Amino acid sequence: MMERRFDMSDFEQSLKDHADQFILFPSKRVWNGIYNNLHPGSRWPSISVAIVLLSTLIILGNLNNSPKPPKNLKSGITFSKEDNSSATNNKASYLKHGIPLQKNMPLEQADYGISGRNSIAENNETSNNGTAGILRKNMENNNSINEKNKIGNKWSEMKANNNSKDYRIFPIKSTSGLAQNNKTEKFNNKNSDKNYFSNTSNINKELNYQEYEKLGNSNYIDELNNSLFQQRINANFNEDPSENILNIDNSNILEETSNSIRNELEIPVSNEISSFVTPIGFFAYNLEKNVDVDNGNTEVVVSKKGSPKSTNTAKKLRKKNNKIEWVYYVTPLISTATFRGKGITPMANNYFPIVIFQNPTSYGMIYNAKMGFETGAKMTYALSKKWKFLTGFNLNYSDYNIVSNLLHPTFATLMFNNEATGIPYSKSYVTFYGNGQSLNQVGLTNYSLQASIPVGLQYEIWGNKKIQINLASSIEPSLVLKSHSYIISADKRYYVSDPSLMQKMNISGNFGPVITFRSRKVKWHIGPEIHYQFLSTYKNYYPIREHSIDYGIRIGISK
Amino acid sequence: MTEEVMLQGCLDNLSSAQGVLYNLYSPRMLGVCYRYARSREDAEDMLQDGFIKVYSQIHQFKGDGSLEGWIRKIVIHTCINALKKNKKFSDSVDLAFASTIQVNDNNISSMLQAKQVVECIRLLPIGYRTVLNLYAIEGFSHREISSILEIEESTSRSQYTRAKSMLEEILIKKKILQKPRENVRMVSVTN
Repeated sequence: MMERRFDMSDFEQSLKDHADQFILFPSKRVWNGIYNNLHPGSRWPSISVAIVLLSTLIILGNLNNSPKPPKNLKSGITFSKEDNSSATNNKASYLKHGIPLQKNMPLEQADYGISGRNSIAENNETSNNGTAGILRKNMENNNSINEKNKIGNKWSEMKANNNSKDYRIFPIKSTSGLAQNNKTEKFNNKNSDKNYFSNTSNINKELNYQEYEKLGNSNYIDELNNSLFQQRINANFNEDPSENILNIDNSNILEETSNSIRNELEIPVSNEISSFVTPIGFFAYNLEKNVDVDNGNTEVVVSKKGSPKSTNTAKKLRKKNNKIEWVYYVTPLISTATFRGKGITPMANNYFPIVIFQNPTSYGMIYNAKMGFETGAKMTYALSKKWKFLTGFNLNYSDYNIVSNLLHPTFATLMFNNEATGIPYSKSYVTFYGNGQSLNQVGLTNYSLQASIPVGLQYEIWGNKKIQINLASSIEPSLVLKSHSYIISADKRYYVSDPSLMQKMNISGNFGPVITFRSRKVKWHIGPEIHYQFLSTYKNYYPIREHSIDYGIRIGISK
Repeated sequence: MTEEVMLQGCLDNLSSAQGVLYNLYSPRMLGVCYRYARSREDAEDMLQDGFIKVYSQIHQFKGDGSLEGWIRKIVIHTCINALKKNKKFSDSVDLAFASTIQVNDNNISSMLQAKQVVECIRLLPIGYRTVLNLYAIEGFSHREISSILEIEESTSRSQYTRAKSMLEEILIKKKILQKPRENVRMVSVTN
């Protein structure tokens, strides 16, 4: 007993004994604080990396997570405020607003109802946002009464779940309804849908992609996009959810369906109910409360305006298939230049007419390529499975070397074109460099440091889960941060430097294939590239045009 | 890792050796800090500061005593310095106050006896608690305590006496300690 163990007669000893036995385990933050204090050198990179990542996350968050639900959907289900009453009372209105139906679907057999089931990923968890529900037809054809009862329970769960705020409805199609369709054979196995969608032309030609794209929500999940055509629902709801009731009951829907809403979706599903629903219908989840199942009439009450959110599964998929990707790269380059244009040389006696170079390329200049570099960050945004829009920020340094000689100071002349009148004129300079006879050979470096914002496209030629081969091309408006050039004189004898001749802005192009593959931690993007400067390094009144060309191998990483 | 290797590693600022030393002594030292601090968070702050001082002064450890005792001393001084920032130790609390201390089950959750005793100690006013810790548990003399806490030696003695009485009251209330029997004086009655 305690009182025997704690002895007041030997108070201090008892107290000490008990206190010494007492231990507590500190939290991790204590060691982290001690470590950071002892090893401050690792702190600042962490802070700077944290700032960069935080900024990137904020930007990505604004770019990727600000869906604006479309106001007018030509396809999909729309519950507009104005149409609430019609949606409530009129099945045709419901259909008119958009369940895409297949042509030739034997709708006269339709017996619509709603059942609930789990999300596409087949997990049985019920997320806090509710569970999936399916608007089904041909229940009898699929021996689905039991199924209906079973998954009707899911709807009770959904009803009880008050946490969901959004919903999403996927139209899916019945294979039983395609008995006459020769595409049925495609869907006989579990992976039939995947096989089907691996051929994306099937999707492209059959889906109303333009409508699809108009929906505008960037929260699409690529994998789901490939497996099911999903339509997001834009809805404007009344405050009172009861006014937003969709009544889907038995009907000859085909008769009431207007031609305008029929789309040849032909989205196949697996025959296995466990993975997909065979009857045509809509795969709905994340519904709000007040979802009831009625064997005949079914009410789907959606009471929240806003863009739909994904289930847990969809969220997991979305993490893996983000549309935006940032690639950080560096490209060692070999830089050189090409020259164009007709130089102008004055007559020895300075009389007119001006003699034009017959061979504009033989400028008498010997120059060597040099090493340059390019670095930056590239952002790609997936427009479709194959196409990506790319942009970013680029810093490019290119240079080349002119072999020249060191001379005594001498006068050299450059000829220019007056842009207004077209009349040539000359300007004289004092220079120390030229092609003349000299024992002092020097190298003159022409360089340019440019910052640019590339804008372009990337196309996936081939790819699987591990490796992709892309072609990327971009136009890069650039700002010349710093540059210096030695320009050959009109008589091709001397080299002159005139900073006022240099362009401040330029436009370049970038082209090359990119091989993408994933290692354990990062994704690598490697490929050769060509960088060509479209505009001349010099201003337009100087007739000789210099265009820098860089060749390199880009090495980039992303996560 | 032996203690010598660990100490050498700490001298060389190796994080592995520092981690070993931390893992070895931090639980007990946190228990020490917990007796002085107002809360667990304060105790962890004291522990963190204490260990930072340990690592920065590790070169001063000559090996003439136990490493734990050396670390403990640093940690205690760190705790005292932290308390000094916020608390004057000359406050006196009357014994009568002890009866007003509400000791209920919420104060001390079910735990082992050692922790119960420590929690009872933590119920004391901070001035009493500090003196009690330093004298009864850490073994400082009242003179040393007076210099550490910058109080009079007599104040240290009186505070300790009061702390001891108050702790006894608390332990009795918590039924950790049995109330001592009162001495009954026999009185003979003669006709």
